[in-house]
Parts: sequence; C-alpha cells; structure tokens
Amino acid sequence: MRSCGRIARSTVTTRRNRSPRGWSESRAITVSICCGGGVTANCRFGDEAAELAAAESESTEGIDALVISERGGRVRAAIAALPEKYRLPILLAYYDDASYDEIAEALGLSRNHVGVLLLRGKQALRKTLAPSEEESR
Amino acid sequence: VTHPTELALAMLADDALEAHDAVEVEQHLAGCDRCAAHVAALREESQALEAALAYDPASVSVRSSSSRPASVRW
Repeated sequence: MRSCGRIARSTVTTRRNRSPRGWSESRAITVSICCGGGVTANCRFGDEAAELAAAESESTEGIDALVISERGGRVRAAIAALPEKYRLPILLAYYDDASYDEIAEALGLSRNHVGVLLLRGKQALRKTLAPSEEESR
Repeated sequence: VTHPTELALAMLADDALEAHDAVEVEQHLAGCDRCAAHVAALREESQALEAALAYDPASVSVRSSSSRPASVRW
C-alpha cells in the first residue's frame, strides 16, 4: 500500500452567508480536516483520472432522483452514508456554500478533482435515491 | 456533434467552469436541447441538495467515526 506520507493538520473555516431558511443565519461551520500534499489527497480522495473515467461512463438515468425525494431526511441519510471522499466535498459545496476553489484548497485537491468528486458523489446519491421499481409502479 | 463532457456540464451547472470554457459550453447549449435540458436538471439537483441540507444539516456528520482511513496516522 502506498504511504500517505506526512500529514499536515489544518482547520478550514467557511461561512455560510446566504441562508434563506433553515436552522441558522450566517452560521459558521468549522470543518477540521487533515490535508496535505497531493499524495495525501490522492490517498484520501482517489485518483482523479480514475474517478473521472468512472463519472463519464455513468448513465445519467435517475438525475431527478434528488429532486423528487421530497423527504429531505432521505437525502441527508444518503449523504451521511457516502464515502468520505464524496461526502466532504458535497457538504462543503451544498451545505457550507464553499466554492470549488475553496474546497480545492481545503482538501488539497485540484479544482477539476473537486468537480469529479462532486459529480461522483451525486451519481452515487442518484442510485441510492432512485425510486425502486416497486415504488414507481 | 461532440457534446461537452459530463464533468464540464456539471461544473457549468455549479458556475464553476473557467470563463473561457463556460463560453464554449454555453455556445453548445444554445444549439443542443439535450445538453441544455441536462444542465437544467443538474441545477435543479443542486438546489434540491442545498434545500435538503439547509433544513437540518446537523443530522449529517462531516466526519463519521468510520471515515478515518486505516493507513493514515493522525
């Protein structure tokens, strides 16, 4: 197994500054994460090229699965069950309102790699949330 | 017709494409109903994610107890 090398601990704080509804206005969320150089990031977040190939080969079927999942709890449970490499970028982007550049800096990844992980994470959510054949009957 | 990659469409939907790439993809969308509809669906999906998380984000843990890779020492 490839060594992850030395890990630098950093704390990333971003602020959600638009909150039209929900549980708090302008609540700061601090995500304490460990991130380091590219080697470490690749250990945690997978190889960008391999993830991209998987993302591009994925069917777009079920793209409306999240939208029609009216029960937010089901979506949140699906997010909580995602592997960390997909869950962290999704939470930073869609809960914390962080930009791709902010996420890239926080996780020690390239901007494109962030895009790939977000895409893969959403593809995984679609599969989880897609109505089963029985439900759609 | 060569369509933009899934990644390019997803990044455009999140307003995360570099400006010159965004212009190129937008030009494609103007003449491709299929890709335009796909980007619209991706935007709707992102909004659904934001809405689901805004409702009660505390229920989703950023770091689960099982998330730490065994190979990484902290």
